[in-house]
Amino acid sequence: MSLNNVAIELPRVQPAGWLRKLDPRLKLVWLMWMSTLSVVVDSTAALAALFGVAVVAVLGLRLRPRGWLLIGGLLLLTAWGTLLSQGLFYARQPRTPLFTLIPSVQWGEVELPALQFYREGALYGLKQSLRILAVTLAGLCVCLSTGPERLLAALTRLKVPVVVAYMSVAALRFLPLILVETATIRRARRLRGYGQDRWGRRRRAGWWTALKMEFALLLPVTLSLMRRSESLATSVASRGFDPSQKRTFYPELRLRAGECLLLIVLATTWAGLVATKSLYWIYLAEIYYAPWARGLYDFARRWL
Amino acid sequence: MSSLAALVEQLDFTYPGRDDPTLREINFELAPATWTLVAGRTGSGKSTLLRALAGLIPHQTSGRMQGRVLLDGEDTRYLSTAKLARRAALVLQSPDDQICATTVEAEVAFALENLGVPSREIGPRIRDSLHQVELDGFESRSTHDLSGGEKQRLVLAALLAMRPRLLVCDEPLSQLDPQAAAEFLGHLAQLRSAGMAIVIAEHRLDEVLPYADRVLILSAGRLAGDASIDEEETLRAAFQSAKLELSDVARFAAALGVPLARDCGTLIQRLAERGYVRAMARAGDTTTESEAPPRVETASSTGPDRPKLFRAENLAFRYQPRGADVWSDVSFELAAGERVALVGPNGSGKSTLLWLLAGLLAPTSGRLWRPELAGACGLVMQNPDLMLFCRTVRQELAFGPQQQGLSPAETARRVSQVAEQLDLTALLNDPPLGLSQGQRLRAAVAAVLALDPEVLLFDEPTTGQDPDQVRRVMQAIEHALIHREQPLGMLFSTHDLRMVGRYANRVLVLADGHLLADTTPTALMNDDRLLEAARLRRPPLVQLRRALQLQAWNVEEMILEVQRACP
Repeated sequence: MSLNNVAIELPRVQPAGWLRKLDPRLKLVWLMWMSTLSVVVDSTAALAALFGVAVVAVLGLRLRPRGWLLIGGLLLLTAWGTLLSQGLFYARQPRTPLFTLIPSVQWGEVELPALQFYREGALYGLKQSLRILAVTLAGLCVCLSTGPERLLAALTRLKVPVVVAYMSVAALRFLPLILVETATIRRARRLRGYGQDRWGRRRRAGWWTALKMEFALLLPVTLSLMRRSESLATSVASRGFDPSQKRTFYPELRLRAGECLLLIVLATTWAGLVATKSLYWIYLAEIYYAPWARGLYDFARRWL
Repeated sequence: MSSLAALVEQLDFTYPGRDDPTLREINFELAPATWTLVAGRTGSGKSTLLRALAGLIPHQTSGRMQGRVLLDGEDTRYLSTAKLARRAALVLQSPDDQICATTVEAEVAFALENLGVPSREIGPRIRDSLHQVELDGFESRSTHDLSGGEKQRLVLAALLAMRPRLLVCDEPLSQLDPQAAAEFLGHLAQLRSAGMAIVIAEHRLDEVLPYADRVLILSAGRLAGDASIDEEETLRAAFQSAKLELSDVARFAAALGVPLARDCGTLIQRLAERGYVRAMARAGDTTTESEAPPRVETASSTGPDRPKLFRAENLAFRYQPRGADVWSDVSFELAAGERVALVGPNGSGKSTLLWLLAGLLAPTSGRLWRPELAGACGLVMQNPDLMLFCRTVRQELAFGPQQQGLSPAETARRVSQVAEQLDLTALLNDPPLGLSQGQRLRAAVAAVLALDPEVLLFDEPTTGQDPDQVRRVMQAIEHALIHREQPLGMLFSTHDLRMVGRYANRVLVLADGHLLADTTPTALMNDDRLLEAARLRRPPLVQLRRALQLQAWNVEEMILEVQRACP
């Protein structure tokens, strides 16, 4: 799938599921819940549970097949990359080799060690990929199920400065355009013979040339983005947008009873889990031990 | 509330870091229910004046401002952003760069939210604004799925929701096809009738002049002219003093000594009253009817023995495997030396076809024979800025030949040749993206011509460009073609029928997912149904050409033809 396809597809994912109907503030709180917990917890089971929650949320997007393909590709690539790199280059002890990729080589006096794939490394990689994927999927869910205007309303209501909120929202709005323009410049380059021999067949450029050419993309993309941003800034200013002024929202953001309940559940679980894990860290660091918290230490050791 | 929509007094504006003011001593007033056209060459200060009128100067654009702009009697310097927005609204060139929401409803609501309009009042105002621009029922539609014309109407609706008294438009037609442009202008005319003052800067004078009540002419930041559309002599003198061409129709009328009319129909009537129509019909009877337009023939004119560059047989293309075809059953040939125009409505797949011919896309079905050598198909994209990625113009022009593996001497020869042809020699050491808009277009064309292509594909050369610059580029290409041993084929997409008439000897009409016609420019211009299918409208000059049964396509030749027939 080319960059251009992703760019064209991204704004067209058009999720229609229940997640779109939720209050954007609740979704942002949930995103923060996922982000902090994925850093705080360390057990594979807990990380898998977080990942599971994110997958359930993705199901709530009711994506088209193309959207699933995009997200599936993202999952596979991230998991594969993390598992492989950690499995091969895991340096901690103990470590158990599962198989040898390249046997050790004796080169004169020097012996190059074998390149092996380690079980502990793979498990560590799995944990890391679960961490990354849980947060990435949660972020995608929020972005894909919330229009920029709703996101702006939610961020403003959560007391994020309007300038910061608007910049984040404008970045989301322009992301597909940036991808399309980058792909167009690559095409223009190809049309002028880059990456082809004189018969029009594909030819690989040297890595240095390729690197230079990639950097050269930055200038036109940035300038084009600046021109667009200037136009957008002019347009929103002409429509009365002033970060220092209070604005209304349409439709007004109103939390329903179920959403309030969910917010309470999120806040309670977040506070409970973070407090339990903090208590456990303090105990491990031999700063403070509370006999009454033995059950919590045990819970944290097993599940967090 | 003041009886004037706007009053500009002794306005001077200088951008930061510049010594010379961009606007100098500008004075004028705008009454409600009027339509004012702001004309001037690129860089004359039109956009700066419009921004000052909308109050964005000095609030959003920094610089040194002297004098004052009053909206409804209040000085823009002391008005808040919200109060300014209620008085003056601004429409820009590209609707894509102005839309910030993902749904139509949210886009219109954005301005009302900014003004602090209570939520319960926003819904009815959204519906009212959408109704005014005939977008009823579009509330939940995604802004990504709208056509170019619908997007520009949405921008208008978003502004109308604020109920401003003054609407300022900065080249709002540049991205629209003729039909969408006519619809947009029609909506503006209704707003003017409802009491709104309209100020518009636009290069497409032929389309806007029929609506205008008054023309302000800017030259080097000064108001070089301020004339009512009915004061013909003053208007002509003002255009002349600003070294600006009045619309082609006005030039035609002036050359024949006929008073300029607001619309083309009246002008044709006046020509008929003076006997021109009958005289030309008589002259037409005595000459052989020819379909081939009498444009200047070059060495590369087509002929039956010319080698074929493209041969397409039943081509079809779709972006998604299970999606709908963008178009299908497209069959045509392109021979060396042919100049073919590709016309059709926005979204009909013209760019897709050009990309496919350039080798960037593969057809879903059908067969395509095309030159396979690297660089043999040169494509100038719609946004030339995305084709410029080197540090200097020289490097940009040398990029293609270097990739083709040419020797440094041959590369240097080609660079200097195309630089000379496109008047870029003095700019060879400048950064390409730092050039003016017209120079950037010329640099992009030169970079493609440096490849010495067999065929030149040109995607919408007129979009967002000053017509003078486009004419200059097309003339440079024509000039370059004369000196070629191997005739170059050219296929360009456009909405501008004058371009078709001037530069093409064949037209492909792509609409409704099919190639509707492969015909001559004259046949296209005479076929109402085909024009309607392609969402094309005869520009006023073409209407005159048709009424007088002329053979020539450009205004100078048309005048000569009439003067020859009616001495």
